[in-house]
Amino acid sequence: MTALGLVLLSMMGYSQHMQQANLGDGVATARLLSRSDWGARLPKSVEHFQGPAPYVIIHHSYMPAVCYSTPDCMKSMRDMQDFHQLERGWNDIGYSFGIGGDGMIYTGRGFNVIGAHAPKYNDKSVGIVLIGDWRTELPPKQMLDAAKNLIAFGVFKGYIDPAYKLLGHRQVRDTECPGGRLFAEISSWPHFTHINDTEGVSSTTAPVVPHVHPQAAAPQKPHQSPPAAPKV
Amino acid sequence: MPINRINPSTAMRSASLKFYLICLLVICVIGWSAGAPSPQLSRKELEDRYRQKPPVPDERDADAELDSAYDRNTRRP
Repeated sequence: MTALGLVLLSMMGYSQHMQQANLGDGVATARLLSRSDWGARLPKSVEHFQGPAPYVIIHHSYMPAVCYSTPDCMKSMRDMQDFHQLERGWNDIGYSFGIGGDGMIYTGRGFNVIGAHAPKYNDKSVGIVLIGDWRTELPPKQMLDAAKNLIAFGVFKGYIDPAYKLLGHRQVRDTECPGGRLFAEISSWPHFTHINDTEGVSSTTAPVVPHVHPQAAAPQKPHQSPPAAPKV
Repeated sequence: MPINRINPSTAMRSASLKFYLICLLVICVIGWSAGAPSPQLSRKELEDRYRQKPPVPDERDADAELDSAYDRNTRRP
């Protein structure tokens, strides 16, 4: 699956400039959606960092809850961006990528862009959020596979260091994120790393701050209808 | 016909009761105002506020889920 994922992602000709991901056949375009695909608001500012990212940091959204259809996942991405921009005041959605329950990869800030998801790691990491609350439930296989494929693609293309370290958000911040069940899962993945004092950051063994935020304000105006779901 | 006289102890109890009621009222008002949710901005107001806000110059220490750029100066160390 990973090899197939690599081929499919490569076929799309992923562009750092967030071009429309309509290259290749219908199967290929179903894997990675561009910002315009999910109706992203323009970022206020974009700042890049050099070189392949040495860290991959996994998050869960907690809210919005898991989505299983592409239109719902597109809305979830917009909701997260609304929360990060409008309510929190940041320049863009904080994550590099989002993974929906539909198995699609949604481009957030993208590769080599300074994120806003993990203090002190934002300029050297790729932040991937698996949309949903993964405290007690394991994400569906298609989500886990999509996350692994995205990481493999990043390594293949040189956006992620081949010797990268995989972390959960709770290892770099006092938070429950990415949820106990998902954290247990990624702990068994290749490159998962336990951070200790020698690396300058202590791991948090007992997070006390739940990763909870209110639902984004209901829109006064209806969003323009999202683009048609890619053919799978 | 006996003259009705004000009993000093009765007057004292009445004054105390009034005092306690006033205190209770004040406590209730304070509690209500503390618990009352601050008025939420409408979506249009949020968008207007965001539009007027300059970009955050450095987001390396940001956590968009847990921190607010609007309160950045009051963030915990």
